[in-house]
Parts: sequence; C-alpha cells; structure tokens
Amino acid sequence: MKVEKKIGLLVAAFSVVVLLGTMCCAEETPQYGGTLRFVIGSPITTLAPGKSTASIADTINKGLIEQLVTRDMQGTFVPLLATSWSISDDGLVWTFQLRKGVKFHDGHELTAEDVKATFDRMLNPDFQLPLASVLQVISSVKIVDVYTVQLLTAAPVADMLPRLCWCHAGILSKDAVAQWGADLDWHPVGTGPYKFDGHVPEESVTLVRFDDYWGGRPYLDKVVFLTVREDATRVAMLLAGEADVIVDMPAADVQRLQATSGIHVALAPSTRVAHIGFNCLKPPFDNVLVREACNYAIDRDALVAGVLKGVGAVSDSFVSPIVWGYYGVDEYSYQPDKARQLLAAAGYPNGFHATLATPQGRYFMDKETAVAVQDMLGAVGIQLDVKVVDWATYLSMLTTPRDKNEIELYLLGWESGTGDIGYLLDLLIDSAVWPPSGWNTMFYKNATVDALIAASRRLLNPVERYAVVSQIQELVVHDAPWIFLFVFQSPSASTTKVHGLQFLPTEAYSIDTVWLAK
Amino acid sequence: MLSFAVGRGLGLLVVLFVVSLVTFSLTYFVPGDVALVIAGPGSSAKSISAIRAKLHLDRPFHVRYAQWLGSLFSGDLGESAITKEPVGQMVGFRFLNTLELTGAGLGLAVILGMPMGVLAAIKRNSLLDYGTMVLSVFGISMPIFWIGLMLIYFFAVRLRVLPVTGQGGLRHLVLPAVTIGVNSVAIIARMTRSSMLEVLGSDYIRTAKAKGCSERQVIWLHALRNAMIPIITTIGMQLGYLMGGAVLTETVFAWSGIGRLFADSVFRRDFPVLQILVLLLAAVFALANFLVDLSYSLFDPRVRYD
Repeated sequence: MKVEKKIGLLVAAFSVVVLLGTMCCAEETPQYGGTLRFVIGSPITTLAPGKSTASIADTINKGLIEQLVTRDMQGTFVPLLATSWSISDDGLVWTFQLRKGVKFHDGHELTAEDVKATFDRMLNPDFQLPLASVLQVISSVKIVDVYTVQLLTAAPVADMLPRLCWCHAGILSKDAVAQWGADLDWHPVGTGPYKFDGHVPEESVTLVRFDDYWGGRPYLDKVVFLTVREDATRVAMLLAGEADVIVDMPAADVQRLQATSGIHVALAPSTRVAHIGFNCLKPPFDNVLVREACNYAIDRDALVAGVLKGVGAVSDSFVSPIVWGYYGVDEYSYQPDKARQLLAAAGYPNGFHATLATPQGRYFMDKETAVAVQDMLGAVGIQLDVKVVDWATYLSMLTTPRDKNEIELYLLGWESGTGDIGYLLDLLIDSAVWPPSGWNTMFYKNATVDALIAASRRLLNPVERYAVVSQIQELVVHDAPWIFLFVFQSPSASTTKVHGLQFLPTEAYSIDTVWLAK
Repeated sequence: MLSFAVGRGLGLLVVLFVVSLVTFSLTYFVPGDVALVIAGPGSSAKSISAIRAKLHLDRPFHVRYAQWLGSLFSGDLGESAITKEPVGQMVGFRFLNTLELTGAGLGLAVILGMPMGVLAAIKRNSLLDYGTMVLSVFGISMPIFWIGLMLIYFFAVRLRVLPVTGQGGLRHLVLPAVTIGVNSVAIIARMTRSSMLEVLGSDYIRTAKAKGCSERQVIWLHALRNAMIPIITTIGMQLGYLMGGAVLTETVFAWSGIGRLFADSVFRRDFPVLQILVLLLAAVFALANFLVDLSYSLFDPRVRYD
C-alpha cells in the first residue's frame, strides 16, 4: 500500500478509537439536572435528628444535613464539615477544625456556634430526645474560636468518631435549633447539597438543589421521596417508569427484577443482623445447653438460599462484617445430631413446646424466616408455635419488665447505627440495659462481658480495643442469647438512567452522589 | 316529615356519642403503647415516659374523655399522636379523596350493574342471563387486592396506557374505581335481577302489557320503579361497604384516603385520629341510610314519614 494511504488509514483508525473512547467515557461523566423519584415503603414521620422514624429517613437526611466526619465506602473516616481533628493526651477533649465557607440552607456560614447548638439540643434534658443516648458520651461542647470547637467527655470514648458519623449527629443551623428546639421535625436546616422543600404528611418528602453547597453544584434538581406501602405496587411503578429507584422488595421480586432488562438491582451488605432472641430468664432457655442446641439445629445456608433467595449472608456474630469490631466466631454449623445431644444433656430428650413471636412485613422475609426456623427446630424435637404480632404490640411485649414478660422467643433485626460495635454493646448486650431501662430484651447477663464492655469503652487504641471486643464476641456467641441467623442485605432496584447510587456503611443511600442520565 | 328528620337526627347524635365512648375505651384494652411506637426501638426509657406525659396518657379515663369531648365541641379535633398534625387537616383531604374513589366506584357499579341485572331478568334463562350471573360470581369472589394488582400489571406495566399511582384526573381514577367497583357491580346486578324477576311476575305488569304499553314502558316505567326499593337499599349498603373496603384499593394504588389512614392509625395506635375517623364513618353510614330511607318515598308514593 502507498504511504499516504497507510497514513490515512492510521489517522482514520485513530479517530475511530478516540471517538469510541469518548462515547464510552461520556457514559461515565455525570450529567446535571433532572428529578429523582425515590419510592419507599414506609411513611416518614419526622426529619428531626434524635427522633425515630423509618430507617429510610437516614437517606433523606444524608442529602440535607452533614456530620463533622463521615465514612467512605471502605469504612475509613474522612473529613466532612471538620477538616481535621485531634484528641488530647488524657483522651477527654476532642478538638475539631471546621471547614471554612460552608453555607447553611438559611444562608449563614457554619461556625463553632452551630456545632455547639446542635449538640446542646441533643443533650438537652428538657427535650428528652428518644435516641439521644448515643451522643450522651459528650458531657459538654466548648467554642474555642469561630472555626474551632471542642467536645469534652467525662471518660475516654473509644468510638467517638463512629458516633459523630451517626446519621443523627449531623450539624444543624443554630437559628433553626433556637427557633424549633426539639420539634425540628420539618425544619431540617443543614449544610447538605439538597434542601427541604416541603412534604405531604405520610405521602411524600421533596428536596431541591441547594445552589450554595460548598461541595459544588449538586447533580439533581429535585429529589422526591414517595411513600407507597404495597411492595407489588412499588415494583409496578419501577417497571412502568413512574419510579427511578425503589427499595425493600421481597426476595421473589429481587430475583424477578434481576432478570428484567433496563433494571439494575444492587444488593449491599447492611449492619443489620437477623436473629431469634431468647428470654434467658424463662426455662428452658435459661439453660445455655438449650440455647446452643437451637443454634446447632439451624441450617443457615439453606435459610439464606431458600427463604431469602440468596439476598443475605450467614451470621456468625451479633454484628455484621461491615461493622468495626466484627469478629466472626466459627461455632454453629448445622449439626442437628449435636443439637439433640445437647437437648438430652439439658434434660429435654423429647424436646419441648414454646412460642416464637414475630412481626410481619417489618423486616425482609421476617415471617417466612420464623416459619423456616419453626420447621428446623421441629426436626430436633422443639415444637414451636409461630405467633405473628403487630409492631406496636410487639414492641410493648418485648420491653415488658421481667416479672410480667411473657416472651419466650422473638424475631428481630438490630442494626449498628454508628457502624461500630460499641453501639450494640451499649444498647443491647450490657446487662444494665434490661427492660424497662433499655433494649436488652434477652435479659442476658454475663458479668465478664459487662466488665469487658466497660473496659472497651475507654480504649482509644484500636488494636487494644479490637482484642477486647473480639473476646466479647467469643463469649456472647458461646452464651447464645440469640439464635444467630443472617446478615441482611439491602436490595435496591433502579432504572438504568440512575447512576452513582450506593448503600453506605452508615445505612443510608448516597443520594448526594446520584445523577440521572438523560 | 320534619319530625321524621329531627328524630333521625337525634338518633344519630346518640349513636355518635356511644361510638365515641366505645372507641375511647379501646385505648385501655388494646395492647401496644403509642409512646413506644413514637419513641421507637433504641429509645431511652425516660424519653418514652416524657412522650407518655405529653400525650396525657397518664391521666384517668373520664378526665381524658371529658377533655376530648370538650375540645371537640369547641371545634378542636385534636392532633395526631404520631405526626403532630391537626387531625382535621389529616382527615379532610383524605376524606374527599376516598369519596371521589367510592363515588366513582359506586357510580360505575350502578351504571353497569343495573342494566346488566335488568337485561338478565328480561332475557331470563338465556345465554345473556347465565353469562351475567357467571360474571357476577367472578366479581363477588375475586379479592380486591388481586384485581387491583392484575389491572396494574396489564394496563400500567404491560400496555402502559394508564398510570400505576397518582391522583387528580380521570386517568388516575380509572383503575382504582374499577377495582373497588367490581364487587359492587356483581352485587347490584344480582339484586336488580332478582328484584326485577319478582316484580315482572306481578298482576299490574300483566295489566300494563294488556293495556298496550310498549315493552320499554313496561320495563323502565313500571317494573323497574317498583323493583327499586330493594335495589336502592343495596346501593346504600354498598356505600358503607365501599368506604370500609377502600383501605385495600387505597393501599394497592397508593391513593391517600381515609381507608388507609384508618389502617395506619390502628397499627400505630394513633388514637386521636382513630376517634375522629370512627365518628366520621359512623356519620357517613347514618347519613347514607337516612338518604336511602328518604328515597323510598320517591319510588313508592305510598310511603309516608310520620
């Protein structure tokens, strides 16, 4: 071939490659604009930090309010509203340098006063915010200068940063706090990329783009969270193009959507662990051999494959693998013969009768899981009645104090809101939090574990702390106050137009990174 | 006539009072603590007591009931225990939405059901008759839930001619109205058919035919008018049934109406809202019955009210 022709061909080939390259890469360049329709299954009753509502509200708050610190997808702490931080030598003073030039939705700039107002609100005894205990490790907040703030603690707090990453620890505008106090329900004035634009009670919440966001122009113009309670209707909306993202589908729908073209399904590990809790004060569950027997009687792999259709992972601790401090205890493989032996050793060679209470529709495949457990325990001689209870009654039953508590077995799923094992140690495992003081609804008590928990709270050195919490998990798994079942995975389905949606280790979807392709 | 109306009015007030008292007492017998539901899992014991105190749940029954009655008479319908919204606001637009839905459903049911029933009665034992009756069995037996989801699947997902959810406009009303109306079509058709058959066998119909009245006059002027009383009673009862059954249709189509609000309030133990809803529904039932009774005089001039 002539030289000119060769060169010509090369140039042409090169152009084609470059063109193809830009076309492919153009897919990945975020586009601006559009309205995201995020359809959820529960109504949002409040957006006020410290108050309880459907866990999907964390996703909404993620767009509105920002914390001092946050975690990236690998779980590492990264600066958000604080650019740097340090701990004093005695471990009692945490100093944070605030980012400059951050604007609130109401226009004023972020200063240490806003941080102080936020935490003072959370700790205010007059407000009695239901979830405030997580931040009550902070004894006071001190303003050093405009952009420097200190959090003082009475004792060293090992998991301070995880607590500050918690979805309810976002920094609010001091003016909003002054005006609304505890009842900030529909005035979540923060520094996030989206600002609150109104709601129809129980039906929808609307967010709009905040043009003065310090992190640059947000991708979307508007985000609408619609509440549609019926699972099948949400799926239909996605398929008919009325929804861009849906969450919390039943297992069968997950499979169906995975097989549908034009729909992208994502399964992300969550911090929530499904379990059957024992009332450790009620015979025969006061006998550890019986509790261990129940654990050996469960075929967890079959449960995940059969009931959850693969949407979940086997659990080997009371926290999920994505939680800091997780230590898997390889103990309870499926051994029904050993289960029977243990029951016989405990004095129940012919098994016994008990009741398993469960909610329905509260957790992914909750009732189906209970029925499967009933079946598996039945195979080793334990006859269970499955009792479906509505949520309000269920909560009351679980938190009834010991002398009137009638629960024997119950199904539940606890998440670690801060992404750190300390959250559940304080909330659930410590014997100081038996009902009615707290949520140790297993009435579990192990003095060694209590001592280890107390020690772990103060260990600022992560290596030392991990050694202690690993020991705690060994002990707790062997004490078996739960039948450890599985770790939930959060299913979400979206159209292929939606990009950048991630489920974060803080149990929220990252609507701040979502963009819509045209 | 006036004394009839006044008597019924007083009766309604008594009914409402008793209903409100019974509903209020339920707060004592139903398990489940609204303060716990509001505070949520993971909440501190102190915060739960604080919520209980704020909602006055620690006060004795008669004090709370008297307080509630008092505020009701001064026009204050109370606040939702869960969302803190005024109950009037929560219920107001939802009631209108449900009325729109049940009105459309019932209207559809009457427009389709009555002619079906009349035709079935006229052409008795024909293919049309049997076909209508089979269809009506289908309509009575199929669960509302299933009908709704099937309609969504075919018309909204597959064919994309109608929307799945949403309100405001005829397009959004079609599927929900058909879903809620199917059951009533069947019942009204059957009642119309049996009532017509009874009337068609009467002497005066034979007389009318002998007189030389046209077929159309006989059916629509003479027979149907005489058959109307059981039919209108059924329609009136259907209104009550639809208001209650709206919760299923409203859940499937995400229609914000009082049916769903009712279900939610029960599950969340939101008693302030529940009280008002129960009163509202009792009043609607009573009013529907009253209007049905009044209408008798339209169809049968012999009926008097004294």
